[in-house]
Amino acid sequence: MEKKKEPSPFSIIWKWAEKYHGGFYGAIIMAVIGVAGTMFSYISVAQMIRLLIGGESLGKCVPWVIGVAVGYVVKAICSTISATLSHTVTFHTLRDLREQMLKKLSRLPMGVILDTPSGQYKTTIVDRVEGMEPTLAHLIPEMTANIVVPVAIAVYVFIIDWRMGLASLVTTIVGMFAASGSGKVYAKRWDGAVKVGKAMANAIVEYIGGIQVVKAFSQSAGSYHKYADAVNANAACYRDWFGDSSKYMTVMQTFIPSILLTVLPVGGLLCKSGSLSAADFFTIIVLSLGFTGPFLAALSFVDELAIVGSNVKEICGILEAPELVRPETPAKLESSEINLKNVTFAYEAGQDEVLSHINLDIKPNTVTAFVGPSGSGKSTIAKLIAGFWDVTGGSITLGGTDIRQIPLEQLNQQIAYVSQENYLFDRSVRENIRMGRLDAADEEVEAVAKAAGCDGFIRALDNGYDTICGGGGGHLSGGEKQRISIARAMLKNAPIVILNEATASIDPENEALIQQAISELTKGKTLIVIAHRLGTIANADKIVVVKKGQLIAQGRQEELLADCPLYADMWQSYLGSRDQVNDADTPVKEDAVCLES
Amino acid sequence: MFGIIKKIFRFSGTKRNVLTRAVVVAFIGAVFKALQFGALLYMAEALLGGTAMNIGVVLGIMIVSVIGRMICFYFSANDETDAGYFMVAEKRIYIGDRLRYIPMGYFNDNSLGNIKAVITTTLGDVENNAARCLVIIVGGFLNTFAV
Repeated sequence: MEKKKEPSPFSIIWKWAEKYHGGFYGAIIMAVIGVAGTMFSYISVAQMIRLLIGGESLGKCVPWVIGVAVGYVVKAICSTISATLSHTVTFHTLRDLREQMLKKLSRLPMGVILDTPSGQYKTTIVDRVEGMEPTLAHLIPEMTANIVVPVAIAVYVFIIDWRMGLASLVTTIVGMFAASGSGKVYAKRWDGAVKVGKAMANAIVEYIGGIQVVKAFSQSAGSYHKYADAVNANAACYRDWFGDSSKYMTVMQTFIPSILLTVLPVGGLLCKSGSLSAADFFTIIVLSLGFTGPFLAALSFVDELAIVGSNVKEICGILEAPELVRPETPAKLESSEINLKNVTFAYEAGQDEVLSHINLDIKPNTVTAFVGPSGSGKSTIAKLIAGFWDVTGGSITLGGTDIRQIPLEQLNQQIAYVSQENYLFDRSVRENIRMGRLDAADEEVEAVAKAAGCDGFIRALDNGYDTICGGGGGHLSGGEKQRISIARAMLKNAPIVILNEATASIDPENEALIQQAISELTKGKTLIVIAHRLGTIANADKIVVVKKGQLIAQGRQEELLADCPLYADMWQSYLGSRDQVNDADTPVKEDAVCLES
Repeated sequence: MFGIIKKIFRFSGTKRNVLTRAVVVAFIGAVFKALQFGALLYMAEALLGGTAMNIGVVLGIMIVSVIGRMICFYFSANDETDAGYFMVAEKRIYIGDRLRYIPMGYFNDNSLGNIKAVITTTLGDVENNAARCLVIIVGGFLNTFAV
């Protein structure tokens, strides 16, 4: 076997199960004893036949009849114990593994988590981990037992008569060759099947998720056909796969149990020539019948092995993802001034830089706004400040300390990040707001709700503050959710607030309420706004214009209107879109159009 | 248990005939399998009862048994796969079709999540297991009665 650098899936799993190795060994030993019990039954039958052929009375067989019974009882007890043990340790292992993955998620860069569809984490942590269950609970003990015992039987047959030993191996060897053939088809087909399966899952999610839209616009025929095609492709993929491997499967499934094909004629000839006694012959027949069952069972696990590899890879993808390295002990922060020095950033090493050589100082208690065409990198700067990713080059300091030297928890206390997507948990409104600071009293929660302009509509809900929000906040409107999450940030009371302005238009009434809530939230704080509409930031202390990952100008609005043509264009375009009358006079520049998209 | 078997047959829709054929062929395969005990019996009678033994007969019976089993396994397993996956595909499409005509009021996040889970996970379990279980169980029963 070739020694590869990366460890095999099995050694990885075995390492995950480290705490429970004792249990697994116990399960393996019990499984082996259990299968040995079955074997003992077969040997007992063989002995009975030996006695009967030798002309002994039935009475002499009694001990062997008991032997058969004992063999089966041992098998029943041991395999039950083995299965119980292996399942217990397996589910403990899986629980630990899931815990480890969840802990890992909290140490991953926030940016990585935002960039990964949440469904993907769910699939890996729930389904892929569940997929390890057969491997751990069944494969490890049962496959071991089902291989050990046939080998023992084969050795025993060889001891009785080596020629019969050889004869009994022929069909098994043919079957194994066929099994390796089907394994090759498996390796070739598996990736394709996974791809088709994913395509179907996506089609299902899209079709079901969009069914309301589809129905409302009577588009059901088109998207329905797309869905049906994906479903049929999935079924056809498995049928063709099986079609490819069915010749191998057929040979394997029929040859391995047909051990008598060689054993009977060869034994018959040997008996005829007198070199094999009838008693030995029948013993071997009985033994060889007991040989094939466990062996086929062991082979049936081969398919599992292939799936294990891809499951392990996906789980390792989470467990081994690079983490943000942060110290444990809180750092001493001089102030809440933020300085960016020569900051460069690329999502992955070797990829294009999204930001290059950004230098910026953000003084405490000022309002700084990032503006620029979409895709310019303005959100990325804000996310780097919030510690979602580590910078690739240069440094970001908060109060004189590099943010990489500040524990995540401490940084989170300093910075409140209010984004456009506001997730509300399926709990009461009160608890959702309290997430900003878990030790806040009810009165504090209600006070911030009032300040954020939520109090009115919350009290109008069926159960007031104790109304359950529904998964993802489904029972509340977009503007209401936004205000609740502002209240949440307000409760947190961090000295720095980063606000990613909503791009989607909200109705004017809500818009005004939200602006009011925001100005309450940011009173006496450092505010960093990622602006999508210039109207709200005209009075900012500093407006930073970002274009193609570069900081091209900064200053107050008057200065920028005079010095920065891009900003002047954007401002004109903003005025144009706000005031229809001006529209005809204002040429809309390309960059400025992107701004709103 | 018979209830479940009946359910699987009802579930199989247009693949019902294919599924039935898989069961019948699997049963014939089992008859071929039983043939090897005929060879064993012949051998036992010859060795213990002292009747004349022709090795050719033993070999012949065994070859017929193995070839018969191979043919039956091949066709039954292919039918079983075809029925197993396509009956589920049919149901997935059926559900998708029904959704086009269900009143809008039926949908909310919850019911959509449930439908998604049924179409992906639950039917996934069915496609992997139902047909095989049915062939094994019904085939096994027929065998017991035949023997």
